[in-house]
Amino acid sequence: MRAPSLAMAGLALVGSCTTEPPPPYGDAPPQAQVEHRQDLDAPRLLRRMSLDLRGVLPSVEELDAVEADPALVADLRDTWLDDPLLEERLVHLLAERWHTRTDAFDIEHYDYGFEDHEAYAWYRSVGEEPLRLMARVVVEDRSWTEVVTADTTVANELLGAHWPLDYPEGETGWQEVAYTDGRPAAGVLATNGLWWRYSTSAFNQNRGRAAAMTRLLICEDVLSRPVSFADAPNLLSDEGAAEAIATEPACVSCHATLEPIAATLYGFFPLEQYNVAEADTYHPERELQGEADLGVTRAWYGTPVDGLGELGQVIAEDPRFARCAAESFAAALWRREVALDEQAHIDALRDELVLADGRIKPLLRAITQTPAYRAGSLSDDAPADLLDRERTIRLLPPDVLRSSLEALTGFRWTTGDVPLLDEDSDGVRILAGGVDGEEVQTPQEEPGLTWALVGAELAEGAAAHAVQTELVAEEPGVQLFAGLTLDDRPGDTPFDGTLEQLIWQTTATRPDAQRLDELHQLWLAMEADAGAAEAWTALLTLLLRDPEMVTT
Amino acid sequence: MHHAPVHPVFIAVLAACSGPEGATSPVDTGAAPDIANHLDGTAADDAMERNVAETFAAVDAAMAVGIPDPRTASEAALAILELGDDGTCPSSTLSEQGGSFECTATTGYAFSGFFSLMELEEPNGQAEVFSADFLVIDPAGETFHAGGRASLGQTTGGSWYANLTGSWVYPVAEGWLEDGASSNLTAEGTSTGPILTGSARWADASLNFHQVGAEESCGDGVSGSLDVRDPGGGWLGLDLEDCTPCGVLQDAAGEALGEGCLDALPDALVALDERLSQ
Repeated sequence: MRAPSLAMAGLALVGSCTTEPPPPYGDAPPQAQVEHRQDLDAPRLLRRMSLDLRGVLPSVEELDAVEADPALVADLRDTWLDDPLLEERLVHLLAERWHTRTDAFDIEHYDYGFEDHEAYAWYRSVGEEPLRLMARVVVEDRSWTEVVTADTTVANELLGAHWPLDYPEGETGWQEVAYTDGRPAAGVLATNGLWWRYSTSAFNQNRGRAAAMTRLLICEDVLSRPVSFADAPNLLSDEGAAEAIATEPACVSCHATLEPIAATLYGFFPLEQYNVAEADTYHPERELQGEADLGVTRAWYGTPVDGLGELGQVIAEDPRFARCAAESFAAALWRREVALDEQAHIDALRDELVLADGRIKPLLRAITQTPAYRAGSLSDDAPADLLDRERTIRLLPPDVLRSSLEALTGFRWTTGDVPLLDEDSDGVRILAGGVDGEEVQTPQEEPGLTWALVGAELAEGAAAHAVQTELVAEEPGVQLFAGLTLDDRPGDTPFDGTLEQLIWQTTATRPDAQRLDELHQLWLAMEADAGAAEAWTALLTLLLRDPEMVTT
Repeated sequence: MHHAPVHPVFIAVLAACSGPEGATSPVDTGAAPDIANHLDGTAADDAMERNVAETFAAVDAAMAVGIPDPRTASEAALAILELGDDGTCPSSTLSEQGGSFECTATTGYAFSGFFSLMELEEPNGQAEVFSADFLVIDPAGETFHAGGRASLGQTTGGSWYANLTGSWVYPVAEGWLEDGASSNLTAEGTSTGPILTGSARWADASLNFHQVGAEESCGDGVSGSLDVRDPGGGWLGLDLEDCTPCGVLQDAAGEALGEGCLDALPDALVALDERLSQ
């Protein structure tokens, strides 16, 4: 029988999506890889989806439901794709790739008169601007093309007060607004947040920005190309480098592409790199300067454009744009890079995106159906390359550690106004396996010493907070210990029920008798030594740093 | 709300999937500027005529405010540094060549940033260069932003030249500085007046100048060409004809849109000449 085409496979998916549509493998699924993967069981898969899409653990009721009926996993996932928490989660997921949530920019917080304790809020506001536009496009089910064509951005009251935006006076929070300085409609390509992260200089002249664009938007990383400078002239002088860019074949191979793109970005080219007015305001009068300075016609891979606005339109029409969206979201949820032999998967996901008119939610849904996403283990005889690359156990990124433990225990780990898991000057974002966008550009994939130490500190703090709040002070808290008192002991129904529920909710795994007995013994030993509150703190600390808790 | 329309381009992408990865298909740029809208017949003609007139009027309005110049920028900047100085702030950290400052004076002025004032060898000749990256907040809460360079000098040929780059604004100033300017503009003196080259945005006009000014062969007239950005983001061209401030406005494709004159241009050039040739 003749296999259906990729497009037909995509159409078939659309037609059969009343419950859980078949995974979009395309017409050539790598059967060997499918066979060597075993899916997570339904509760663990639900847990992975909840943490990936919402940043919080599933509730006990949700876990109970899918334990009884695994088919409900798909229903809950679809519900979560419309959960308000998705937007915040997407901001962090996108930040791992777009690298704009950095702790510093050329323009410092004090340039706007902010005090040091306000720096975190300001830098995050700047860095999240493009991320929040993308996240808003996703959650509102708009076409991903708007990421490069929208005439709006998403800003909060801090940005609204200092940048040329029509942010409504007296309001707060992230809102969709427009710049008032004449910049073209080009989605994230017309945001200060993106170009503050990818700044340029008098010599670089937007070339680095152009390279960032090709990497982020069409998954072409010119910096990854092998280039030999063996025959190049002197590159240490500006003149020598400029000549090489124009004439040396090894240089021209990239720069012939980059320069015409760079020439479209001169409205964002600062003549004084560290000056506020130069950096936060678009300069429309400089739009034509790029062609003169770089000696090229503005273009996108050979297609002439009349400026940044049209560049966004042309990128949106580039077949690589949709494919790159599919690949980058797959990589984000698979928690690893996409391998060369998985291109058929990506093509199928791309088709899913195309058939959904560019809406990302159907793509996210399709990705959660792929074997790579659902994999919980690999068979012993799996091929070496699959064993090497597949992430069957995934570390929780710092933002998910933070949000899930805060939701579970009410604990916020901060210094001043700064969440320690979200910053690196005073905090531990990188130590916890996160991405700062400058020094570290990909999430940590394997456990490490600092990751373990951060996890231990976080677990202890969260456990102590929950115990002190709910059991010692007897305040409502988040009802983690509802029905339990410090007088309850192993063997009492409230004690045993609470312990089993805690394990179930934190790991989506039912504890066996041996495990429960071990935990009882631990609690009793601690209680004898330091009292019931300390015993519960120790027990909960142990659960919160359990490998099955801090991974998916 | 400003949502961009949903583009059916993903359908086009799907149709293009059979092509080789990485290849881009020819694109209809649809690049017509706003001014050349797609209305038909009389309505279109009327709209275009109005837009042409508005374009000339907008540029003229900018000319009437005055062309941004380095002397205005540097003098205003130095004046406010001196005006707000209480004897120690900011002067205690400054020399004649400049310095950096971060202080609030007893006069109520707050200073932050740096400037330098130097004699430099510029491409056109020897120049006095005022470089600045600072802001001063006056007691009324108004901010002087200075970010760029203001150069004034003598060319090797014996005439003056001036260059203003960067962003400059002080809302309580007069002339172009009141609304501010973003500039990369050079003016060079000739026996008949200044000639402008480069780009500048001020008074809601974004302009590129190509040898605009009093070319000697024009006598008292003006020549050169300008690029004018329309509010929709397109660029229009204007070649000044017959030594007059008049010409035909053209779209990016070179199509004539309508005639008009920049009546305020000659006087603006004279004022600039008077200011910079002092």
